[in-house]
Amino acid sequence: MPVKLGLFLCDCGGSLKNIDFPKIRGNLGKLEDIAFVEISHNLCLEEGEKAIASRILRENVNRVVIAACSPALCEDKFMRLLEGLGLNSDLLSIANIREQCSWAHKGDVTEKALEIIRMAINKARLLQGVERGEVPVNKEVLVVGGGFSGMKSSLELSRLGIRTTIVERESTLGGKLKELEGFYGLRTSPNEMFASMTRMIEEDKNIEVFTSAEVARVQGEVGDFAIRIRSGEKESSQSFGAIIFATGYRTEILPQDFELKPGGNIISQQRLVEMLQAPEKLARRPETIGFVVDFSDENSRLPTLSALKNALAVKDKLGSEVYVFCKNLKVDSEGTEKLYREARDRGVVFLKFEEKPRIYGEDGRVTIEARDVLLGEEVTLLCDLLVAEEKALPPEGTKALSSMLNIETDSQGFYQDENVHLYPVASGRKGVFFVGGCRGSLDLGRASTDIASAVGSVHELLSPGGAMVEVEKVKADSQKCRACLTCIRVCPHEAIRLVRVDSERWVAKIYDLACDRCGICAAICPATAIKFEGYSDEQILAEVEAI
Amino acid sequence: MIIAARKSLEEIRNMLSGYKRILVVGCGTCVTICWAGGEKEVGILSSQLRLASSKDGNELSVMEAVVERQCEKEMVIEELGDKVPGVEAILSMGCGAGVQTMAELFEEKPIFPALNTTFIGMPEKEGLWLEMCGACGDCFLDRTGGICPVVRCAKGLLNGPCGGNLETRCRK
Amino acid sequence: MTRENKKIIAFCCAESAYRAADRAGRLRIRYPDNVRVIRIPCAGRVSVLHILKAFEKGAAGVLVMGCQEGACRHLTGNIRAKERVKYAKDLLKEVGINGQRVKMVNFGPDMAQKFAREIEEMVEKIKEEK
Repeated sequence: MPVKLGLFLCDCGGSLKNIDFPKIRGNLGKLEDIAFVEISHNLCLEEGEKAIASRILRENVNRVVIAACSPALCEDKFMRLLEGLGLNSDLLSIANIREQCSWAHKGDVTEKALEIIRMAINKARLLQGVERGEVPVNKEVLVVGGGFSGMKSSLELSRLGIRTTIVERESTLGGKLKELEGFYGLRTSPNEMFASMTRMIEEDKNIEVFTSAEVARVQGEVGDFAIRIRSGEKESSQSFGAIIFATGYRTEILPQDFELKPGGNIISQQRLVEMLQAPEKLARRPETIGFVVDFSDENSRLPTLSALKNALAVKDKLGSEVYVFCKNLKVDSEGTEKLYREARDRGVVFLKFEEKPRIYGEDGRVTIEARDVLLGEEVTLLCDLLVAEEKALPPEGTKALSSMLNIETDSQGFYQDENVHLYPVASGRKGVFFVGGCRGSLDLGRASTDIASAVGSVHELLSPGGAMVEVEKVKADSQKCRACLTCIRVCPHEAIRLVRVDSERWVAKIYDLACDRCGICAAICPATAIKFEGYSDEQILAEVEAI
Repeated sequence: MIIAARKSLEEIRNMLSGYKRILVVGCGTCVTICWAGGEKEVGILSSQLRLASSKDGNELSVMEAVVERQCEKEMVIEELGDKVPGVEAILSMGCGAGVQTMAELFEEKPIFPALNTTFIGMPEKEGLWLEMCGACGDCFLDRTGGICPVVRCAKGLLNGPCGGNLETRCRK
Repeated sequence: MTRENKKIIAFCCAESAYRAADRAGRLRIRYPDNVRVIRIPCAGRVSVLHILKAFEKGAAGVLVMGCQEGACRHLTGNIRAKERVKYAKDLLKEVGINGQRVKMVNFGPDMAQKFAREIEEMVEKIKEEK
């Protein structure tokens, strides 16, 4: 079918005074394949849309060029409009004559506008349109990790009618819930929460649990991940539509940060909790207890919270004098500021240092020397016990898992937390989500937000029916593909796999649902076999041609 | 797979000096996979040639083509049969075998190589190839644990006077 | 070059640089009007061939504009673009075109001033060479 273009010019309510619209119409109206050039005042308003619709239907054009404001603002709207008219919405090309032309320059810019519109026309001529189609997706979800985040994710998904399978490395569910002393600001104790969640999971028909099990292999892509689960000697394979990783975190005192090895009078928060649970077992009540937070790590949100919580518990149960040495006290998580004030009111002394305090042991006691920046003086404290800050670290196996998934970790080794486009819980691989501790959301509030976000995304992804996708918007031509694997190696979304066509030749296949339409593969393919409709080499070069 | 690398533009232009109509021919097999002579590389080299000659004020018409396998006479004839008569010279972006196949087929036209065929190798990751085989015609990999000590030794020595390797580098 | 028309082509990532350009317009930040923006989904879409072809068509300079490093929606798109621009510089030098005429720039979507400044700089650079 020959190209028949309809060109709409919008002067934005007559405000684009430095463009001579009739001149553009005169100039471009002469082009052979342009059916009409219509000048409108407000294409984005209802009357404008109506005018577009009636003109397109009347003239029966098969490509539409709109010269108006930025496509970032209007593209969606006009695409929907075309769709409503039964036209393929990808047969639209937009020339940005407002933000990047009229508004950006002084004086008459008709020439530039003309050229921008020519670029859009050149591109429009080559547009092929993209069909929309449904892709079947597996509705089951794999949850890796059976701590708070994993259990909560499963329960939430179950409420939405989505079946989940929890894979937990340890022999029981619960993770950190089994170790914690209490949640600050919550009446529920971690133990109670653990018990009630486990009971709910046991009763839930939508949740299957594998304990003492690990994920051995992840293949496939969103909608159809092929997972091998290893449980002891046994291995089983199963397909899932999406994966939520809730692998948690671990804490450790890093001995290299202290001159003394932990043990003796330098203890961990964990050990302190144990002491507080049974104070009667202590040989001697410690009179002075020091805490150090923010000593080796800037990411001290959780250590701060637990130090404050434990400092108060010490006051309650032991009545010792408590000193907290800190560089920064991160009090931005829910309720921590209040906790800090409470601790101060109860007589906990906070000392702020800039340079690392010097810590050494002496006669069974610990000496801390620090320069307090607020007092401007050297402070020396002799205490019976020093509670050292634990560093939150990614759990063991994170590296292996991330290389298996081909997903990046942040500078501290936690799963991707730094990319603004994927923030907070999505990953470079569509259908793979990270919640809770494994991405550095260490407290309950943050983990819960993560879970809500991931559950929402999963539900959207695996919504009833299949997932709607643009079919073969990015496609490898099976005749041109040389199966060099370059695209597979560079795809940041793991959306390409090698498949056999006609049961003989291997060619690259791009999975529509997993693909995020970046075009990195199309740019790198040495055989130029990958076509990205809308941004194909020909279409981009056609725009270049117009200058 | 055969690995090749492109010659410098200067060398290629020196070979082509004096010709006004040339045909750049890529190969769709090994050299496509090693990013040296596939359709994209043909486009890049052609574009460079056009740019360079227009900068010098010379006229140069560059045609582009890719043969599925340049070392197969049938495929070369099929793809280039009607393009060759219109040009004065052919620039082959195939390996040595491709260049010679074309030289045999198109005796009347000068054929120039645009690539240096370097070795037989394997991809380590995208864009990086390792030399694995020197095509010596006397394979003894059965006796060397599947590692070619000649090709993969920096000095090309079998049983050379060194102490093996340490973290991928030779000892002494 | 004979067909040089002093235009600058800016391949702009729709996630960042394109928005920055829009914002420059909204804020009425003036910049030279010989820039032509081509919207692309990610800086990683730009191939070396696009850059060379732009020069073949007579462009005086090419800017590849992507997201800030570490903030690419497609993780590595902007890094790949940077490497390709480096490669394109070498190819252009072989041809006898100053490699500075192609440049990779990283943007956040709000960096309207930077967009204008980069265009100005490129225009200046091209003028100097004349």
